[in-house]
Amino acid sequence: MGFLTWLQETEFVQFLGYDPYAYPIMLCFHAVGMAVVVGIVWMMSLRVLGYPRGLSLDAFARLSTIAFYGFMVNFISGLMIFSTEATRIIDNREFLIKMGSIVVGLITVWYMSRSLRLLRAAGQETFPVPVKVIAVISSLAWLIAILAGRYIAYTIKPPFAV
Amino acid sequence: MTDLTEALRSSFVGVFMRDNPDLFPAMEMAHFVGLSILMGAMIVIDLRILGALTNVSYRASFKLIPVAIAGFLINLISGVAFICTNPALYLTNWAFWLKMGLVVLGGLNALWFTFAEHGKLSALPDDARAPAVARFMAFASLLFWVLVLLLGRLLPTFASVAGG
Repeated sequence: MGFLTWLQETEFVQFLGYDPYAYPIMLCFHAVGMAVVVGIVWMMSLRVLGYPRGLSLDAFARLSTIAFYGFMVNFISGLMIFSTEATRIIDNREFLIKMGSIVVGLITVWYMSRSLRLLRAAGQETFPVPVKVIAVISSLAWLIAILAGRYIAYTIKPPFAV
Repeated sequence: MTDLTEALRSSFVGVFMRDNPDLFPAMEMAHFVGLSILMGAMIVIDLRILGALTNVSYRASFKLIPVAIAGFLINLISGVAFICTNPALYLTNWAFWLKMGLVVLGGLNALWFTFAEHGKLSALPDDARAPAVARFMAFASLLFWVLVLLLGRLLPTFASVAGG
């Protein structure tokens, strides 16, 4: 716990936690990043499941890149929000559920993108059932990440509000 | 304004939300899910029109419009539930009114698109560029919905009365 205590006490992280504007700005970045990542992953999953038929798989080359940038925004803003309450949040149940879901979400998205590239190269349009199952698992993992993430706010208040 | 505040507060939805405190967090979760659905669908549709996704069928991308509407409806319902729970928190907040103004602009933009551009674009071949008006509307759409999201996220920060 030594590192987390040190991190939380650094001048920069104290600024993030107690400045009246820094905290809401981090939340703004985190919300936009969430919409970009989860929104694109859900549209990708929908396409893997077969809707909209006729939507070229080419679309997802560019969309995956955008989702990646969205994820980086959330990784960085998430790390900053985490630092402000590191010692309290590290064993928070909702936080751990969220992190677990994101790991599952990332692995399944990686698998889905790989299948998408393979199918595109082969000139095919319909995905095999296992990939569809992965798409459903991925969508659910990102759903749980959102629900658990939203619920953290009800279990831990931000530093300035304590 | 106090009449409206009181009417919303004492409405069935307002009373029901306050009688069941677990509903508020549940509605917040729904609001986040709805916004992600709306943004995801709009990103695909608007980027197609803007030309960032090339060689993608306009007609196929427009099949995501009902998905966007579904996301919007989830947020309309959960949003009304928030307001009825504690109307003063929203009705006295300038960020709320700015957000509502932008929701109306986003809606009008979508409506205008449906009647004026949807048919024309659907008839275009996959490799054709969308007309400038349609590209402008797609850009405005992304801008409006991102601003709506940001203002929603900032609402509690600008609240002039204590929130719940």
